[in-house]
Amino acid sequence: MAYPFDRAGRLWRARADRAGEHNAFGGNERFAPGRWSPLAPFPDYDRARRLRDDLIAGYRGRAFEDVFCGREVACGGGRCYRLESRSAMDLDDRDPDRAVAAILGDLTLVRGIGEVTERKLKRWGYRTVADLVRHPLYRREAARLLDSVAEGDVCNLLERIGRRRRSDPLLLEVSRFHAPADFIFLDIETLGLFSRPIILIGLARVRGGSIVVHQYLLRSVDEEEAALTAVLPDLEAVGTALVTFNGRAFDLPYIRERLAYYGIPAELGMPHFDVLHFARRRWRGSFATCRLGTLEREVLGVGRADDVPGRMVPEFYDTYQRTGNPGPLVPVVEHNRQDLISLARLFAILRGDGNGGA
Amino acid sequence: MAVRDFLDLLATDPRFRESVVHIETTSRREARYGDLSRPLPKELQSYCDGKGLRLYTHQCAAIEHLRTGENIIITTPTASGKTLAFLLPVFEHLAADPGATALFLYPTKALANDQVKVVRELERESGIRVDAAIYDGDTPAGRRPAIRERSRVILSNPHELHQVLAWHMKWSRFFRNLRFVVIDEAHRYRGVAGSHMAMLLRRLARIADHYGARPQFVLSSATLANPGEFAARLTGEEAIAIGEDGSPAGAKTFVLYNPSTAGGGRSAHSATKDLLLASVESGCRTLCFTVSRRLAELIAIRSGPFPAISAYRAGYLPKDRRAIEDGLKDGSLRGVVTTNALELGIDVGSLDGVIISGYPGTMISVRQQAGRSGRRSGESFAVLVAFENPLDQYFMRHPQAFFSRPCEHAVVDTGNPYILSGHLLCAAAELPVDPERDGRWFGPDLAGMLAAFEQVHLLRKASRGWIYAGKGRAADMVSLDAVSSDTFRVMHGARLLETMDRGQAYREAHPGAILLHRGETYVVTAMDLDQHAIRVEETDTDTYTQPLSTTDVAVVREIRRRDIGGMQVSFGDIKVTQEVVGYTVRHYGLPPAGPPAAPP
Repeated sequence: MAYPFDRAGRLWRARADRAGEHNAFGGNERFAPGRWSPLAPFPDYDRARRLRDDLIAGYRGRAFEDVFCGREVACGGGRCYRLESRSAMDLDDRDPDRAVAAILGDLTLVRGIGEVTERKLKRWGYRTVADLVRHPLYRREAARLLDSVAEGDVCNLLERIGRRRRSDPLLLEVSRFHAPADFIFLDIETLGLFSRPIILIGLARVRGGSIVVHQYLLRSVDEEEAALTAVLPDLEAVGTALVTFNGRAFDLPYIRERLAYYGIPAELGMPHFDVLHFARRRWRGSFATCRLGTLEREVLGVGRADDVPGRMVPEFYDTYQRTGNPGPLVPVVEHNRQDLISLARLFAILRGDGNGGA
Repeated sequence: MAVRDFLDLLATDPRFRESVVHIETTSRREARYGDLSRPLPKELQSYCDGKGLRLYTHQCAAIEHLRTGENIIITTPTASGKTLAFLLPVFEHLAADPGATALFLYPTKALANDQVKVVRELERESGIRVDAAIYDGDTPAGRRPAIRERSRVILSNPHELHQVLAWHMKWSRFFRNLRFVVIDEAHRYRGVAGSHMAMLLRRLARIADHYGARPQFVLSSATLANPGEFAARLTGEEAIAIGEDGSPAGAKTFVLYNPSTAGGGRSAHSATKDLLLASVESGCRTLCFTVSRRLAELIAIRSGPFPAISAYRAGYLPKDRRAIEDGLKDGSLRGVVTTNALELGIDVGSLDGVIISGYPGTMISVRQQAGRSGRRSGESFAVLVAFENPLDQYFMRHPQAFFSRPCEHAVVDTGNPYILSGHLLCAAAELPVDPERDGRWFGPDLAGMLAAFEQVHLLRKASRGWIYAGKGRAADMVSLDAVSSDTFRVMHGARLLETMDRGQAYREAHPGAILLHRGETYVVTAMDLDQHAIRVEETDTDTYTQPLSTTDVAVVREIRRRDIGGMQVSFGDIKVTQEVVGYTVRHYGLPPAGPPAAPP
């Protein structure tokens, strides 16, 4: 009975390829974040195709491990392959006092107090939330907030402030409860928008004056479970804080979905700083878009050569998958690495860290 | 009384009298009531009491079987209280188990919109909180999370479910507690639609199983020859067939009407139009079924002078359809000409009569269509207008053969390799496929399919099973409508007029074609095959176009051959190619004029 299924298989293959040619991410756009928008003009398409073809020619006959110097990692879900790289970068040390001062100076964080009331209260001498413990009306709520602050309960504070607006600069101040090494910068590359494998998980940490980037690059999609299991202990570790660019809408739900796909239980309620929101607040109107690529160019002055556009990543990986030629993955890995470094630097700039993260 | 007036007119008026070949009257039928082994919970009992409802025998049977955990298929006629027959036991269970959930699947969004009112009314009146909600393509993104997290009764359609299954983690509460899957108008899922539905339901059962739930299936269907077998094929589970109707019915007159017997040979379309006008003028609220979208438009146009007659068909935009349904319900419309789009149980109020223009191909459809009239106890009628074709004419000459003809078998093929493998791809994108565990959903060929997909790099074996490795979304590649599907949009300027599939677009919307839409005529000016767009302009013409097509059948592979009565009969795979080679321009009421023109 193999005969009809081979034909059926080819039919589906042809359909999958067609989907890639005309409408890379067609169909269900309900969950599409902006950077994948199919409505955006896409003049890079032909250039990207040429790049892919050049890479295939340039890397013909090369082995994966020979092109990507990394090491094999074994974990509960099997084996996967990790690349490591490092460059100079620093973040301000933890500064809980500064965080506490910023939070306590904002009376509107106490439930029931709006901007008008805050002005009145300040006139009456209630300068900080701590002063409000003497106020008959607000002392209960103020005490609750003070407890969160005293415990350094970052999740609770982020929730309180984020409810007001996701881009509140005060959120960045809350990040000062964390030491630089607590932050995990995360960016994933995938085969598309949800219900498809992740093909690269990039994590970065800043430690001792440098940023260390770990990239779990799938030699084959069957390593996805291993890669997820490998990064999970880092993500779940106590004290970890996540930093992403649009990760609230994309990276984190995507990882949650893939973990559920494999039936892996996970606790991913860590504090999360989504730089996209802060960047929009700060630079909306200054530049044409607030995409990471634009900010990188305009704010950080970084230019990329031979970059693969994000939406071409599935096509590039699929080519690797079918030909075994690692060439098309080279710019994908570099793209992801550069995204992580730019993400960390933008985070530092938005926080107003000492030397701008340079 | 209107129905009497119309029937008298048929019997006496020389325009009609000659063409009436047979009249079959079924007399009034009394209600048969049943008893339950244990009473309904008092909230539901008081709901029934409040509406003056007493349960019919078939409703009691449905309740008892669902109580014991069985699957059922109810095949009693339209308006026999099928909806209540499953709503009561589902609500009874949901009242006793405050976490339990139920999924109701309807073939169209329109029907779900109609039915949600019924469900909400029961919820309101009984006070059993289920937060009934529709979840389909029209549900705003902002409302979706709350429905997923809170609603216990969700009304949707197969297309939406097809998209939703990959998001099962967001639905974990709903699937973990899933106790009932209700499939309304289940007879619609025959043939290719049935194969898709069967696979979709297996995917659903597989996800439910992953969350530890095993829902009961409840099918509501038109009368079929093989309800039990059909339900088992569709859902993969045995089901009890409930077909003995206990509801009362008013007297009904079924008329066989053959226009070709009258002198001058009036066309069936003209005859249909005359009957429709006569019926509406007699004061009957009338539904007229035609065999094609184009005929629905044509007959509505030609009933032109009468403003209270409208066409209704698939392809109309939802708000237009809703306006027509409402018009029929509130009486501002007296007659509607429709394709089988209105065969579905959409509530259009009580109708006096139905005109069926041309045998619709199956007795299942005849009964569904005729069943749309006489929903209350009063007298009603149905007229079958015969076409010239041999089958219609055979029925006219042998009325008994027509009235004794049983309903067809509903066939569902779960072995079509293209449909099966397409759904396997989707399933692999939902949860890894384990050949051992998942054999029960995908049958004995699972291993062969997995191997074929690995060859083309769409599936990949990983430690927990085979995972989807394609770059396109699996559910977007597989369309439930057909083996392959494309939709074309018909645009008038910037306005979307309607949608149609590729085959229909080739036949009816080639450049130069006259397109009828809600009684207006349009001419197709351009057809963009890449953009799937058809451009039309308004035109004032009393011509219409008819496509000329050739159909080519080639044998791909012969599987079996048998000798039947001296004839070689073969079974195998064939390839059917249909080509639209040209079209003719015709004038209403005139014979074809001019040579055929060729579309590109």
